[in-house]
Parts: sequence; structure tokens; C-alpha cells
Amino acid sequence: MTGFDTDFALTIAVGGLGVVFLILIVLSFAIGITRRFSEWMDRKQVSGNSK
Amino acid sequence: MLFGLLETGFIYFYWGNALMILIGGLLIFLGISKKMEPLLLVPIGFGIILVNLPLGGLMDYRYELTAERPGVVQEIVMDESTRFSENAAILRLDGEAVSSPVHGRVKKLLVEPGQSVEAGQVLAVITTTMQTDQALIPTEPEGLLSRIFAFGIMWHIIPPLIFLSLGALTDFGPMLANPRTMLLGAASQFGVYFAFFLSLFFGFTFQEAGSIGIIGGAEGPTTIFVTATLAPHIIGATAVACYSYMALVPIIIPPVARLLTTKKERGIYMKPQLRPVARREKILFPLVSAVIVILLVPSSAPLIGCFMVGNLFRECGVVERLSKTSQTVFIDVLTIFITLAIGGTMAAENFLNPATLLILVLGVVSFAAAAAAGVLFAKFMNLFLKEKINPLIGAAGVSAVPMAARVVQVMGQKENRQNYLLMHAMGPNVAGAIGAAIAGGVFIGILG
Repeated sequence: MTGFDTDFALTIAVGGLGVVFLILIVLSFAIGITRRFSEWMDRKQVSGNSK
Repeated sequence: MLFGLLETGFIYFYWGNALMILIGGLLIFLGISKKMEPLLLVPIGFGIILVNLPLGGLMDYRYELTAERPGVVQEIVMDESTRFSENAAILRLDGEAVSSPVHGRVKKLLVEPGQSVEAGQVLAVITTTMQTDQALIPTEPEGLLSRIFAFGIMWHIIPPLIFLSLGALTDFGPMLANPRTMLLGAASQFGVYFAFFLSLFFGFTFQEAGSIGIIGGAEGPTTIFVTATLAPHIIGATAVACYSYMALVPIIIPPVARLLTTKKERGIYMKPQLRPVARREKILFPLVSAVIVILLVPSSAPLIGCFMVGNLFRECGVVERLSKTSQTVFIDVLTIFITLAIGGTMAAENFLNPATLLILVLGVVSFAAAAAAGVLFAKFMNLFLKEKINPLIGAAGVSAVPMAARVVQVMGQKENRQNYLLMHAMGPNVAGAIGAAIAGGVFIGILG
């Protein structure tokens, strides 16, 4: 075992895992938004067809 | 008579080559007889055998040893064709040894004793199989496999293109139907950072530690891409560890998942039906996710960009030829290139050292920690969820698509025959692939 810059290593590890979580959380919100958008488009198409 | 004229490989063959040929043979045996990742292990195994037959030259690089200052050559220490190890003295210049930073053999001596040389003059041409940091020790590929490795892998062409094909093969539907399972894919990346830390404790550099940690992401192209950028000299060990452990997922995941869950938890029933996902959602996801991920972690662009364009080919429905080619012939050709070249990095003089063994051990720790983190995070999520999720699906966050999800399905059915966890496990499974690419991008962004 050898010494290493623990602060830098912790920054990479905690920061890196944090970034992965942050992005996947943002993506899951984006999925929710695209779902709402898709459902809205479907409703619009249905109401357009019924007119 | 003929062999007196020809230089045969036998004179350079040593026990290390024999051992590596046995290892290559073992990988081929596992691929053919045990059906363990045969598309990967068979060509990698054969690549190992080829590169351990001396003088074949398939993985040779040319290195030019130059004089750092002017002087007079006093003595030639290494004759042409003599095998030597790293930092061995090749000749003496004004009483000082001129050493080679790479192992290999002298292909051609360009000076003789008594000759005056200028600073920067080439003293000898050396043939080596060593992967070097090109900024410090520039080499030129001379063999078939070293050229594929240098221009395909070190230039970051083949791994992202394999990601394109993987994107074309991936159905994000289960993940889009239940986006909260993406968190399990994120949690599994803990294994990457755990192994990163462990590697630092064992004396690896930050760049090497990042390359070892990413093995836990269980994505071959990501591991190769990150290692090629950060620590090319250990690429053989990290790639083989990653592909071998992906093949060993059915052996690694079950004991970890059983250890961390009760029988009751493993039997938690999940409705087999997921909500139907509209085609429009499937088309929008690769576009939206590429924009978000690349803006936040630009260094993940080659992997995420290719992954998502491949997925768009699949989902848009108007480029069926591109989608079909990406899923079949294209990935097969790339697999042949990458696996033979990776096998080619495992010449005995590169591979047989204690660090390789340590990398293999740290790799399996990374895999196990990734599976454990996924399971524990699923249990944590259950504290807040009305409709509980089966914590086994957390283990699929380790990626290794789709093997990990299949293992979870089998484990779930053993505890509760009504349970069909496969589609639920595919969510964290593909999220794990995205998470690993992001983690790799973070390593490259900080350490590259």
C-alpha cells in the first residue's frame, strides 16, 4: 500500500457517483416529461380526428 | 539446413510464452466447451496464442532509441536480436549507459563503437510489444494487430462504434416504463468507485485506478475506451477481467444477492406487465438523453453519442437497413477487430506480473460491489415505496446486458414461481450501461 491524495480521490469518487445519480435522475424526469408530451400529442390527435 | 538460414521463434520462446499459450487455450476452451461469452473469449484466446509466438510480429511496435546529448559510442551492450527487459542498457555513450524505456529486442544497431553521435541521432531501432504512453515514449505500430490496436482502439474508433451497435440492440422500453429503476443503475456504479479507491490503496496511479474501477461498469467497450485513454499499458488485464467477469455473472451475482436479502425479500412479487411505451417516447429518449448527458459530461460524448444514435436507428423505424447492419454484421466485424487486438496485448512480457493478478482480483471486487450496491439501494427504495420492488432487480444494475437481468429472473423464479422479473430487471440493466459510460466520462474528464 502507498500513500495517495485522499482528498482528490474522495472528490473523484463522491463527485463521480453524484454526477451519475444526478444525470440519471434528470433523465428520469426527462422521461416523465416526454411521456406527458407524448400523451398530450395523442389526445390532440384524437380530438383533431373527432372534429 | 533451411533452419540454419531462417531465424525461428524457438530461440526466443520461454516459459512465459508457454504459460500465456495455456491461458489462451483455456479461454478458447471456456468459450467452446462451456459456451462462456464465446464471441469474445474465442478470438481473445487465439489473439493471446498468436502474440506469444516469438518473431510473429503481429503486435510489434518500432521504437527509435535516440541520443540525448552528443558523445562517442564506447561499447555496445546489447547485440542485435538479444531480448532485454525494460530499462536495460543498450550501449554506453561516454561512459554513461543509454537505456531502453521499453522491453523487447534490438532490431538494428545504427552505430558502432568509436563513432561520434549528435544529440537526437537515432542509435538503435527496437522492436517491442509494450503499450506505451505515446506522449512520453512514441512508438510506431508495425504488426497487423498493433496497427488495429493503435488506430482502432487508441484512436478511440472501435469502442464507440461498438456502443453504436449496442444502442441498436438495446430496448429502452422497460426503463422508460419504470424510470425509477434507473436509480438502481446509478447505485451500482458505487462498485466502480469502491474498486477505484481500493486500487489507490494498493499503489496504482489515479489513471490506473480509474481504469480498474470501470471494470465494475461491466461494459467491455467502456472499459477499453477508458483504459486506452488513461492507462494503455494495463488494457489487456482490464479488458480480459471485464469480459471474463461478464461471462461469470451467473456465478458472481447470486451469492452476493443472497447474502444481502432475505428469502421473503427475494420472493417479493412484481406485476409482470409494464405500461406500454409509445413509439414517440422511444424516439425522443435517445435525442433528449444525448443532449442532457453530453452537456453535463462532455467527455462521455463518444460513448453516449454513439449509443444513442444506434438506438435512434432502432426506434425511428425509417432506417431499418442501418439498424439491422448495426445489430449484426457491423458489430461482428468490430468484435473481431477488438477481441483479436485485445488478445494481442497479452504478450507474456506485458501480462505476467503481480499487477495483472491484482487487477483481476480488484475487477471481481468491483463487480461484486456493484451488484451489492444495487441490491442495497433497492432495499433502501423499498422504505419509501408503497408498491415494493424485488431487491434482486438491483443486482441487474451491474449492466452486463442482458446476462445480469437473466440471472435475476432465474433467482426470482426460484423463490416465487409466479414472479417474472426479467423486464423489471432490464430497466436497471440498461441504466447501468448508461451509468457506466457516464462514470467513464467522469474519469476521463478529470484524469485524462
